[in-house]
Amino acid sequence: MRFKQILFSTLLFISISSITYAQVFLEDGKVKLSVSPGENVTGKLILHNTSDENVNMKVYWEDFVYKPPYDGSKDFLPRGTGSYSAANWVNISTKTLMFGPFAKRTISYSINVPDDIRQGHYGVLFFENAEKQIDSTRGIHIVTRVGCLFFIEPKEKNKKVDLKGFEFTGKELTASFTNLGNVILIPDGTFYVIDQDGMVFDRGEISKIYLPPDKSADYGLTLNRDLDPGTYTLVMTVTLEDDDIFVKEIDFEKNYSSGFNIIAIRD
Amino acid sequence: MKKVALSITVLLGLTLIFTPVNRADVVDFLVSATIPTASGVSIVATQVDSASNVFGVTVTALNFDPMVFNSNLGIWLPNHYFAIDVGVTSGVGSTAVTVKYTEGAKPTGQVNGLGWKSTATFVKITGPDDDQTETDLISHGPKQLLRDLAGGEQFTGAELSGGFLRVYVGIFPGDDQTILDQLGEPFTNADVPGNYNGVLTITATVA
Repeated sequence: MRFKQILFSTLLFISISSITYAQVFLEDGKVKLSVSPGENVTGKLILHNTSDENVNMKVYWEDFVYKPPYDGSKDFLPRGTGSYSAANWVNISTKTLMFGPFAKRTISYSINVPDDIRQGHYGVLFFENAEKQIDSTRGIHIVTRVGCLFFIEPKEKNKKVDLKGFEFTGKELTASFTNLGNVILIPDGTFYVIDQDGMVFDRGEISKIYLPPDKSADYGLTLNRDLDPGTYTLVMTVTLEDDDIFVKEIDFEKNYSSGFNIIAIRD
Repeated sequence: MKKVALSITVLLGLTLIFTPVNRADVVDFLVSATIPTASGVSIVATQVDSASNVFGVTVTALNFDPMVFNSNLGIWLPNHYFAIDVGVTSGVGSTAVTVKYTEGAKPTGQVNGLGWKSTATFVKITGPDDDQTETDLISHGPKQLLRDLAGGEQFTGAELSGGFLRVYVGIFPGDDQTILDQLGEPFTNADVPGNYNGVLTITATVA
């Protein structure tokens, strides 16, 4: 009898513990489009209700901008107020969504690209839990939302970069990365270090940045291994998506006393 | 003997004839799969007993009632606080979380709202359910007044990798000098009676 009571209590606790907000899963967290002036682009997004409850959602557009230190942090802004807003081009098939338990829904979007698109335009489509709370006059109301980022960029992209001011601070190598192009750049970089004998001594990844046009950010890496005194070459390979790649070779020396000195930089 | 030589010749001929055909049968199949940059968020908010720190029922709003007057401290406090667990789901790329507070209503004549009188403490939870480890997210406070989240506190996918974000939300009891220095204040009899509220918005997007 006591075993049954314990079992019942356990099951009751589990069932109470599993009460959660209705959950929504968005298949595409990012839509990246290369568009031509005057083009009409259509597409679909797929959402899943991963819970056993009904879900009601609000669907709306906002602008977003990456903000310093450009590590992926964003500011979400009312539609039409961002520097590179696409709010007036985008039409969404619905403003509300109702899901049954474990249901899947498809949302259509249509984008009318203007004739004079010269730079990337960006925004986020939010899906927000629209459940009413029993008493919202007291305490803290919780709102959850999941967003799909839209990158709407011209086919004629300019990905000009200025990478300068290389400097070692201990084992960290940093430079100033400036985006001189017309689209957001998310450089994906790797590096390796070769010694005087041409042997690879160290390798790793370069921290990602998310850089809007006309902005600069610190771009850096940290050596993983302790280097013996001597001269080395560090090779940075940076991909700017769409197979745009650039390489920097940095000759440097490690001294007993003064740490790291940069000798030469080559493209 | 002639038959043997003839058989070998025929076999060699057939081998030569069919060898190119067999080679043509070898086809390389490209095996590929594309996982989209998916994004999802799940929230579980749980009421926690202030005295025992035992987790209780899950909730859909953070209601601090009933507030009880503590005559020793001269402040109003609830007997509970809340833990909000924020789980994110990602495909390729990582999902970032933003926690933002928006001040709501307060009684007429009241100067400072709920955002001045409540705090959020950010920790990362790792490990299995029965042996969880909490790590303070120092770069986010880890404790902040809710009013200081008006600009949105952002957590990158890398920060939350291998675990999930837990946010403890409670009424400030006036026991933390750092929060007092940030102009935090407990509820006292100097505050105007009535309803106080606000909105905590939790946003998940890929980076």
